Amino acid sequence: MPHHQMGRKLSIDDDDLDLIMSILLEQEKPLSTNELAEALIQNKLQQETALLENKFKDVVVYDPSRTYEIGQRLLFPALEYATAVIIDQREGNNLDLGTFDVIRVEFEDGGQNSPDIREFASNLSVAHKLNRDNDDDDLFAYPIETSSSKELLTESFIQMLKNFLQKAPELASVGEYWFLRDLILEVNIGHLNLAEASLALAGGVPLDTAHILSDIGSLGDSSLELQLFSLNYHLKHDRRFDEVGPAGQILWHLSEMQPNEVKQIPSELQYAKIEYDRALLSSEMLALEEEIADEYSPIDTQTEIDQDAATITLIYPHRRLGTFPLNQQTRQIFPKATTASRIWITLIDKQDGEEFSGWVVPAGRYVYGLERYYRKHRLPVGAYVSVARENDNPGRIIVSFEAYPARIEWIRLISIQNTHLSFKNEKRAIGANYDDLMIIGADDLERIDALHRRVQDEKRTLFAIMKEILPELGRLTPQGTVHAKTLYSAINILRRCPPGPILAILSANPEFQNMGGQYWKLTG
Amino acid sequence: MRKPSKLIKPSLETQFHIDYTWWERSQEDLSIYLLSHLPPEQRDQLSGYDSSKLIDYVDPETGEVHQLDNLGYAIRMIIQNSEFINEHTALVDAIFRVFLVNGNKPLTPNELGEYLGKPASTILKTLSGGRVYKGLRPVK
Repeated sequence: MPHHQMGRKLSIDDDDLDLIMSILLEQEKPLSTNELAEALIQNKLQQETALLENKFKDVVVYDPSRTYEIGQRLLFPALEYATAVIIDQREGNNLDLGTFDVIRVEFEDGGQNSPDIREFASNLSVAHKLNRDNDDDDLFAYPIETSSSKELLTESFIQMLKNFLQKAPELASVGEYWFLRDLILEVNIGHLNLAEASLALAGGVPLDTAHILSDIGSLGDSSLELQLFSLNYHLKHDRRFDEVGPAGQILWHLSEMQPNEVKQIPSELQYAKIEYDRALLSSEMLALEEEIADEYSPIDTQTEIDQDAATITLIYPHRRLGTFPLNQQTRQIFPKATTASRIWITLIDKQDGEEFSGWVVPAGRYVYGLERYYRKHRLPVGAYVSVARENDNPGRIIVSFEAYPARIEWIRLISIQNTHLSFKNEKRAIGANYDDLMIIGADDLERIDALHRRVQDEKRTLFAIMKEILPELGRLTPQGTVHAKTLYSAINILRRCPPGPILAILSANPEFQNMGGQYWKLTG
Repeated sequence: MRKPSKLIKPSLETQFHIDYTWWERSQEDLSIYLLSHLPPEQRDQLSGYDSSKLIDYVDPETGEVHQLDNLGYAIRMIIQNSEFINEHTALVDAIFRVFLVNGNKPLTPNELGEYLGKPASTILKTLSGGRVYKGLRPVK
């Protein structure tokens, strides 16, 4: 059957913009990039089919048993459906084949069937492979096979269209939807003030646009889709409102009602990148780095990532601020956004079902909203905390830990000595499973906060912090050695740092002596 | 790009074909050699044939007409016989026949070996020796 490659390499030009504008005008409602891409492809395929139909108009499928006349156009199925015009005819000469004719044809496709002029048998009485059973000369008994729209609707085409539409001043977008800028409905200051009041009354819970629209009344007689799009468009351009929905869902929130830890990344969670030579890390160190799974570690794990649940070991800054790290594993559990810089979610306590408002802050690599949860369950630094999706709802995340009846245990406890961090062993009641090497207790949080600020102000180096902390931790054990994991957990009280730079300094600097495994002490 | 040197030793991946220019320069007669590929009775019929008399050969796949002399026509007809290449055919003749059948499309010793069921190394040794057999040469 005729098969043409024409539709396979799609491009987008100004004619397409005209088409898109007329589609939007005709439908009188906003359409998504996907819907526009599909409509565009359908149109291109129709054009392609029309071109093919024109090419094959009045063309007869070649059959050696038929007789033809000079000037007739033929289609050659055995020659990739090339078309040719008959320019001459003569008697055939072959006693084995009896009486037949030879037609001389000129191909129309410019060189694909070279030479352009060739001869073919006609009026042939002996059987030939190309003999057709019926007299149907309608070419379209052979369906024209063009590329299917599904085949052409690729991610790269959709992205190309999106890039193109973004450059068109005639169009406006909200999320994945597009409409004609000039035809967006008017939303006045009164509407926007009512929207603000509606969100304020919701008490910090985001609302979808339909809810806000019903609170402020309709925007006229236009389609509901256009009213929602117009309201979204105006809310997007007013700084009082922030779009906080996951990909595919538009939810609005008042900027002023958002926690500061969401609007701005807290200094305790900011990692000032330290350059180091990763070749210094032994395979054992790399394994340790992968096990810790810090959100700032450059890990490209080879193991399959669980898309439904993940567990982390809590470090001090996350415990203090009530945040949860977004590392390679946990990132898969939380919803993503296409345009929103923060996403509102519901965090659910698996133990008792209590719900908390949470915020995914992708730029800061954390989720905010667990301070009350951590305090409620008295989770220590070093506790294992898990997250899982609630069924298929991307905006609802179940948080849990492995609880057991609280028992008194010896743990490291932070003790501030003047301007330095120190530790002591003390008994504490613990009711959650934890990593023995990373657990650290803290009582006087305000003094720790003050020391953290001081370390930042003094610009104390990582090396200096390590030299200060290692002997303090070493004092807690008879051998005076400290595991790299413990050091990592303690350093993060004063300065946010993934394990990579810490391990590189331990490995490269002779002032640190390896005592076997990943246990270290200061030399001298 | 530089052309490969003619002195490069052919390998199992070197493409060969019938080099008809070799036949033009050769003292051997292509027509006589082609006749040798026909059965004896057909050979007798064709001895002393008039090469200016042309026959319309109709391609069984496409219907295209090629004007051939009697020998060319006889060869075109015989190559359609599945027994044209058989286990009793001498190796050089068998390789030549493969190229007659496939329209002289270049093939490597590996491909020829697979087609003929013979070791590719034997085919390479035959085609890359000091002597050119029946115009079977590497593609330039």
